[in-house]
Amino acid sequence: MELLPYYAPLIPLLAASILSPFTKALREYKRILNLSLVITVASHIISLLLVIMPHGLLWISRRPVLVTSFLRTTFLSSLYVDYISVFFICLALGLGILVALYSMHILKEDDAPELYYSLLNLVMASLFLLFTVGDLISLFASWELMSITLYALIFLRRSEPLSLEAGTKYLIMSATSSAFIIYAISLTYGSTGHLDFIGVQRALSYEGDLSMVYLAVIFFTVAFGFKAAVVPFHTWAPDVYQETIDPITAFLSGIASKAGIYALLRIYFLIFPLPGLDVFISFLAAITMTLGNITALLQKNLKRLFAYSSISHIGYILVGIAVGTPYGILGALFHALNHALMKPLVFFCTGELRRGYESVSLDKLEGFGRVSHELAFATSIGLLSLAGIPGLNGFISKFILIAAAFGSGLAWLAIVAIINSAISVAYYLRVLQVMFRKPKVEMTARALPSSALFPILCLTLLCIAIGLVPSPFVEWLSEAVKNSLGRAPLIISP
Amino acid sequence: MLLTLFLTTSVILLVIGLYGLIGRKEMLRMVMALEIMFHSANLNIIAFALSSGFVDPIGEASVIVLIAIEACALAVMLAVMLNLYRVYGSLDTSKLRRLRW
Amino acid sequence: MSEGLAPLLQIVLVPIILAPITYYSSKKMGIKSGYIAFIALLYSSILMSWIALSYATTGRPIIEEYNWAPVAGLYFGLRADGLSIPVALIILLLSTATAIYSMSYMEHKSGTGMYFALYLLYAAGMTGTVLATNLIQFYLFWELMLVPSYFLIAEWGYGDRERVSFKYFIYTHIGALSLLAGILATYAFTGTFSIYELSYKASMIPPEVLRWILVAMCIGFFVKMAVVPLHTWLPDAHAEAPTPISVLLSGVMIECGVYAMTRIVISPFYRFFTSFSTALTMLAVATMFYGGMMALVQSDIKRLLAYSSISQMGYMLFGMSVATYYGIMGAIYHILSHACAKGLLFACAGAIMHQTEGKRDIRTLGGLAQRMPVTAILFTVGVFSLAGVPTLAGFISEFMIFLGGFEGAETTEKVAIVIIAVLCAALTTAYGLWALRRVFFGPLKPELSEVKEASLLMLIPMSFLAVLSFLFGIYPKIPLTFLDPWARSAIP
Repeated sequence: MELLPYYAPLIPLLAASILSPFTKALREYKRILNLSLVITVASHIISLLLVIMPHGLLWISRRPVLVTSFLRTTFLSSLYVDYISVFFICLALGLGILVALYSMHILKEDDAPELYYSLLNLVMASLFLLFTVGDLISLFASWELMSITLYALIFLRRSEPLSLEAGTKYLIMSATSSAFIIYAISLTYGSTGHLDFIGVQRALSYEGDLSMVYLAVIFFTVAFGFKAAVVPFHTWAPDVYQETIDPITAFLSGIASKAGIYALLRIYFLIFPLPGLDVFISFLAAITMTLGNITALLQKNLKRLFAYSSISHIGYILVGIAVGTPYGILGALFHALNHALMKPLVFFCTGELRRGYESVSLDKLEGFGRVSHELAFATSIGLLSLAGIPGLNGFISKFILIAAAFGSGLAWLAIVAIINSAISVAYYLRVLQVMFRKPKVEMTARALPSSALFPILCLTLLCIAIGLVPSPFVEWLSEAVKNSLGRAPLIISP
Repeated sequence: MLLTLFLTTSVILLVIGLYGLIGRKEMLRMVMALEIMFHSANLNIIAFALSSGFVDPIGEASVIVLIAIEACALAVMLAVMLNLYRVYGSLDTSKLRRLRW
Repeated sequence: MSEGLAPLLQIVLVPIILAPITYYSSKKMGIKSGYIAFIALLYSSILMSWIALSYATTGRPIIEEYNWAPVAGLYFGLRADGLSIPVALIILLLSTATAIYSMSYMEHKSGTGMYFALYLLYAAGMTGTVLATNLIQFYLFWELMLVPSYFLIAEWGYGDRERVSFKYFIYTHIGALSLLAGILATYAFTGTFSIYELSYKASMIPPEVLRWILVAMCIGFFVKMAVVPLHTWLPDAHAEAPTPISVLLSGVMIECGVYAMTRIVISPFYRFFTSFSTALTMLAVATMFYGGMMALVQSDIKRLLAYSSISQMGYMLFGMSVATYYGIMGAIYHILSHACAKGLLFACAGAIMHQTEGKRDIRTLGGLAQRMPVTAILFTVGVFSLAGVPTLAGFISEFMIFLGGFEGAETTEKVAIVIIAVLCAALTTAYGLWALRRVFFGPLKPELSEVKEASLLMLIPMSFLAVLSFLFGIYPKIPLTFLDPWARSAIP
């Protein structure tokens, strides 16, 4: 009974399996779209309740908990849960609900594929697993489950050449990254003889020669950095973000990239707490920020621009990881949260623009701000927040990150981050200017359907609210970092 | 001694796989190169599992799990290849260059 | 004063809260929604005057503190003391006056609701900047005054407003980020964001680092103040902004830079700052001279006033950089007199443009005194105040600035610099009087014969500013009640 919360991933999995034959059998998927949505949202809410209910996952993970498998060893199939896992789970579930809602009208209008909601549930189950597993093999399994489901979601528009091209690039790079993960796992296994997080961590302290372990960490960084779109493994991101349908773009940039961040956090701070990694990560952070921002300056396509901006924001998050102090990790987590609010917001908005004006190219969108006011307001909030204007959520976390970098002697990285913020303002501002320019052609606004309005409104309000009253979030996260890092886990054997 | 032999083979396989992935433009060859990379890692794990003098069940079990997962990934890749061939008429990835910057 | 009322918080929050209400009411009320903005700002001004009175009687600063994100070291505090009360009051008075002026100005333009909403945010941003007790909160308001003003220029400006507003935003934002770097580096060494704790924690920063911190902060402030090498955004932005916004930009926003520099750089790091003194004095003289010379050759009336603002910023920087009691007090006093005078001049220019259907080239104007006598008198008052004619506010402040300059000049070179600065002041008289003559006197151009006097909605706020100029010129004791105790305590 006390292990009930650990079965929470089964709920989206169950929903996925309910939905899949369902939609297959009834060819008229549009008729049961509403029902699928209800099942999806219900599964998300129930899992969320299992997390935050009394004696739920949140309560259990007051301190890190390691649940061993039925073999009563910590070797395989164990679960490792702490506040950081719970934070990412809640983030994914909350955003998952919004993405599911937002998909509604897009699916109704386009020629929607039947398995959409089933896949959405499946990817949520895989994320749930990913955030709770405690050994490398299970980590890889859930990682692959997520990747394969994401392939399916990205290939939804498989008859369109551009979409197919972007998807193929993603597939090849993702498969390569999987190969790197396995190789890194084999190296870890070879040098420590363990595969579960805690076992590896304990074995490391007795180890003499660490070169193989460092090689493994670099391979892991390459592989997980790929999903998070860390430069130089980012090349798939702009293509895929541009070509997939808008809810999936929001999902990829809001949640899937955070899965990469989660895995990197685990690698650096739980499994391989090695010295000397900060130089490597801060270098990655600097080039990720800079390249993302500079390339974004050149973009004409709004979705592509936001894709590059996404890359640069991953760079900011890496700054916090590079700093590595509790304050820095707090900044990284908080920025992950804020980015997961801002980016889906702007991608939802661009989705509505694509629907309303048939294009997401900046030239064609001139002056839409004068016609569709709600959309213009939400987009402006998103843009200003991304630019790090004080009073909105993006500023607070960016500020914490830069302050952490200054505080721990990485002043050069802080200065690079500040210069990057300055560069990034230029392209966010350009979008704003195009929005409010006098339109060259007659534009007519298209009313937002409620399934679009609700997620956009939610995210806009959250951006403003966190910007004005950040203290509850910052406090909880700082508690989370304090409770999660550097504490020996409580071991439970069923 | 045996371990060194296995490890060397595994590294050679990894390099061959990487070369195939980077140097070849044909989708089918790239997928094959990927498979070689996967299996070099599997070989590595089996070699390490043997090295401690007895057969470590964790290593053996892990490799079986990994092979199963890789098979899933391979299935998806084959499906994508099929679609690619339908739309583009070839499997040459150098033709996939409509999206730039 | 009751603690529960939180008057300072109200001063900042009432305009912010009323901003969306103004926007929505404009759909029903049209231009009359400006009255909501006016009432909000009037309310804040009255509260501020009340606080000023209570400070004048008790002599105790009023401080309010709230939690914001304590884990990250962030508090939200507001503080009214001898330095911030006069500056905040002049900001509120000028924005209140300009709100009325805007109603006449915006009569035939579209989007008035959005205009007044942004206007309120802008005014709140400036007030918050001045009242902030904490560097991050200061930075928040510093950016809050940037964003609405950017939209105001981009949407209702003249000419190539898109490029101009872009330039304005990028310049000021990069300056602000440099400031942020300075703030965070300070935090890394002292562990505090509080402006008031800085002064006794200043010694925790090693001098070689402190130098760079101060340079980074000063770059941020100098961009806002448009000190010479960093000034290029100002003539464009001030000339192309809608006139009521030019009034605020020139009248109070750039002065926020002066206030901030006094508060954050000079007051805590006074000893260290004096080692910069000579270099900054030179920069100040260069700014004065450059602004004055450029103003002399302008033919566009708003551009002329914009360059004049650069030159006036030179005066304030001069007063601060000599870092003596009179110099700094003069610089702050000049904020008040410049706000009244330059606000008045820009408002007059706006009135002329409004009445002549957009004529702003001085060469096409002439003899307007016959048709717009009140505006002509008010313009004269503004020019005389800038030129430092006694009985006007400009005289007192310039007198104190130069007195401060001579007070701090121990060597012959320094005396020479001060004399050059005094001579630069002659430029002000030159461009002011020349503009006055070309616009208002001489023969009336035939195409201007139909021009009428500006409406009362414009004349009342303008007269109010003229009255303030006289008030500060005849009774310098009013601002000095606040400034003198502050300067005595802050400057050793």
